[in-house]
Amino acid sequence: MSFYYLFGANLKILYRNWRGMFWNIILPLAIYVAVALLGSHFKFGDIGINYAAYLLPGILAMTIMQTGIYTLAYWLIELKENGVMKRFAVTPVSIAELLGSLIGTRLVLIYIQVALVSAVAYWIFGTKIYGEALPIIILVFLGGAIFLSLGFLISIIADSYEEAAPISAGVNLLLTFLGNVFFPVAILPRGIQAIASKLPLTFLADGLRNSYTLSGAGISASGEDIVALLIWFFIIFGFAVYFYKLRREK
Amino acid sequence: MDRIISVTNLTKTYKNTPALKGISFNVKRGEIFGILGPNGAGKTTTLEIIEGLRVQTSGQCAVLGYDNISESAEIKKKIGVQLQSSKYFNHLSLAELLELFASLYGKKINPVEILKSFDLEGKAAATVKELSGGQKQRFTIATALAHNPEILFLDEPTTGLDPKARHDMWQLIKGLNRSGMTIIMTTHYMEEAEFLCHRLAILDNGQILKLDSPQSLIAEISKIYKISFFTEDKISPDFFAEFQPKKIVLEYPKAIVETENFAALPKILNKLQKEKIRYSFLNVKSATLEEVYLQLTGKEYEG
Repeated sequence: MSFYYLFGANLKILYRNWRGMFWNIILPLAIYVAVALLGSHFKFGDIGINYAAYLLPGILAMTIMQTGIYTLAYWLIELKENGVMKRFAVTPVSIAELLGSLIGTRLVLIYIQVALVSAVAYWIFGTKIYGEALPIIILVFLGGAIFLSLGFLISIIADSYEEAAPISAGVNLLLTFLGNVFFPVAILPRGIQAIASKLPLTFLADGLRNSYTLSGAGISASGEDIVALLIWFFIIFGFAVYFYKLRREK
Repeated sequence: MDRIISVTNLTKTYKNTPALKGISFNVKRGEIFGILGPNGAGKTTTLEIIEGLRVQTSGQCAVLGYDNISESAEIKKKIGVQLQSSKYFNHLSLAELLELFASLYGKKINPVEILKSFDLEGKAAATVKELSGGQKQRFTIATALAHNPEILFLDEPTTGLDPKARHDMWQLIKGLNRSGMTIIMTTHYMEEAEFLCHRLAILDNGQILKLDSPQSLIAEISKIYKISFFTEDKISPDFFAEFQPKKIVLEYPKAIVETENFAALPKILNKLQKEKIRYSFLNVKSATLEEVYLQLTGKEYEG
């Protein structure tokens, strides 16, 4: 019963905070449209398809990452700093229920974002989805879970906004640049490629790109990406649980 | 079960600083139990240990028979807590917040009914931000009671409130207790402890100095009566000599006379009138908890 109310409460908070929602949807859209228009003039080697179609899954992956990190890290730090977490700590609710409702509602938001940006991409650039729906649903779920866990992890490690901001921004920038979003990892220098090719965002973008651009692509087309994302999820969530237990108020 | 909270030899040390140095007390069903002490005495730490927010360094603590460490989850189901500074989600209304809190205990409630008993039904659709200080404090207690707990924990329930809101809160707390609620509270206001608490533990520097009813605590120390007034006229200390006062403080325009002799009080007033001394803001007080604290610690009380 408490999970149902917590989930509902978090959904209400998300959509009543319409300013935040506005930026969460408009910004990725604006970036996508601007870069897609600009990028059609550049050649990133032989990507085989028009740039707008190449870019869309990258932007979706980037959006999932940003929503995951930013909405959860700052929200949890705010709840910690202003005492809301403490108020919940004296009730029977478990951290699993609390976190579950926070992550679950933001996953709903992420699915809405993916759907909206994809719809606008189709409307402006005619970009179609060629693959099956199921792998996309799974990839978005895993990607969301990973980056929401990363947001959770940052909120545990950072004690305040001042600490969280550079960590979030740094992670965000690094991953966006190296993560297969705007151009293929293959054009990066060799040494950096070795790292970039293993990043969670890289796998997410790759998986989504397969599903969006390859005709009839099913789960097997992105099988490696899905496995890699699962591993990343256990790593990041594992760290989050570890640091949470370490830092628990005693 | 009569002792619904029992605390035995509780200690709490942070790094190398002892916050609690071995305190013991019990709270009986149906009473308002107070912990009084200056800031930094360890009041909030004590409460937080019982509530399950902190773990003690050593000692035992049980609520309704449940151990505060191993059975903390059971305790949380049965208690309602008002924290010192309570914040809530900004985008939910009072009614939605109450429903949410009740749901955490598996209870479904009618939020407007509950808000009514706290004089807040007009604000059911408002957010916490839109409330005044007194309304916020009342709402905080409402959320603590939404699930009908057996014990209410109040941490400095009237800090930051104006005098009227404070008195309203006192009436609310007394009313809750009259209908059977057991309450454990902390305060650094002497008057509040005197007015509300059936029994009181005076906590200072991590230790309980005395534990008894406020009336007994006051009766234990020697009775001192204090007359204070303001006057423009010059009075010398000899004026009061015949009454053999314990202490005279003449800090123009304020004068304070302390005496153990109750019969001297009307005589002092008579003399003031006979000598045509013009006085105002006349105040006659008997011993207070402040004197108790001073006797116990040798320090002036700085709440």
